Amino acid sequence: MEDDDELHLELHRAADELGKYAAKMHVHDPQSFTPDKAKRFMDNLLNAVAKECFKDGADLIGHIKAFVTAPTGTLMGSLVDQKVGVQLTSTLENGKFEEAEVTLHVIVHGIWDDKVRDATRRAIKKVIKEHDLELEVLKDHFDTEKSIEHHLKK
Amino acid sequence: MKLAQIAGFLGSGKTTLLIDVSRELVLRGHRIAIIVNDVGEINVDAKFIESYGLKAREISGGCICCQIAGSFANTIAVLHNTFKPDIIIVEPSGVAIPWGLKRAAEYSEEETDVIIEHAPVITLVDATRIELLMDAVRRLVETQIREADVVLINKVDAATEEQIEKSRTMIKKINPNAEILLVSGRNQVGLKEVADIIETRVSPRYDEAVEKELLRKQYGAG
Repeated sequence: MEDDDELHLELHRAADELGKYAAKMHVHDPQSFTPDKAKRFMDNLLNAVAKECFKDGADLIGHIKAFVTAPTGTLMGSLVDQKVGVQLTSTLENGKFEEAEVTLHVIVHGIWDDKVRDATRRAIKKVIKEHDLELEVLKDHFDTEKSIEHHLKK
Repeated sequence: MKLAQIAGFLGSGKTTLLIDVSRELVLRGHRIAIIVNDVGEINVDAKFIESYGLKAREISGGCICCQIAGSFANTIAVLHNTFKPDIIIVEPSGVAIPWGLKRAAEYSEEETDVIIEHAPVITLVDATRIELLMDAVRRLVETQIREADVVLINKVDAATEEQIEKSRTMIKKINPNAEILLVSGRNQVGLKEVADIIETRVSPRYDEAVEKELLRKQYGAG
């Protein structure tokens, strides 16, 4: 199985050339979100994350996506290619809401996880300020090379 | 119970295709469950898939073809015993190797009275970003194509003729045996054909000897 293990390790490492960061957040809008405002927030957030990651050295988006769960429905946003822009899928009904849960996933090529985390956090801070929102990060995740640890010879 | 893998690099359209194909198969009377293996422990795809009323399970903590093969096998066994799907569609993370995933799925036969049958391994290629991807993550993209039975050139609605032809040439060079289909997740072009492939066709079970020979030929290992 040694050849298999070497190949497997190489593939994991190839994947780990991708910097990853994920966060689960609670967002509060004192002025209330409308579906349009939520969509603008999503579009601005994903584009800001891409911009900050590229500024820090990323050269390719793996994917940048987020999922909003609100009392009136859900909103999915995905950014793969900046030329194409953010793709939105919404089930948000008309009506306002103040609280939402946002799960954000960022995978880019060219910078490691810690840089992706820092760039993403800067982008979140900027967009939250622009939209006058309050935000709490409930949980986040980044783990360069953790996924190949089991293959490394001690 | 049949297991179908939909592989492909990030952003190639796996989740969109998976949802549309699953809905098509549900309309045909199948009971479908979906397993997603995202990077890290915070999963976004399972939530999105469930918002379409589909049954999804997420597995985190590593790669399902090796590191958490046990969890994967257990999830299949639990789904079989509780939800009783006739087809499970798996969206692996970008690092899972299809033959490793087949082997891991077959471990579930030791946990419950299920016999696993594999649908052809499907890999998606994003025609609009093919050059970019081959520059940045060539090895990963090549491996996903090499291990596929069927390669879908996706986003043909947005790609140029040149990009589509480049994708086709590259796929043929990497895996001359793969069947190639042109699809568009956005416009649902090729959707019924992909559903037919999953519904009616099978791919061989895991065979260590065969896989070692494949590795030797493809990677020069051994």
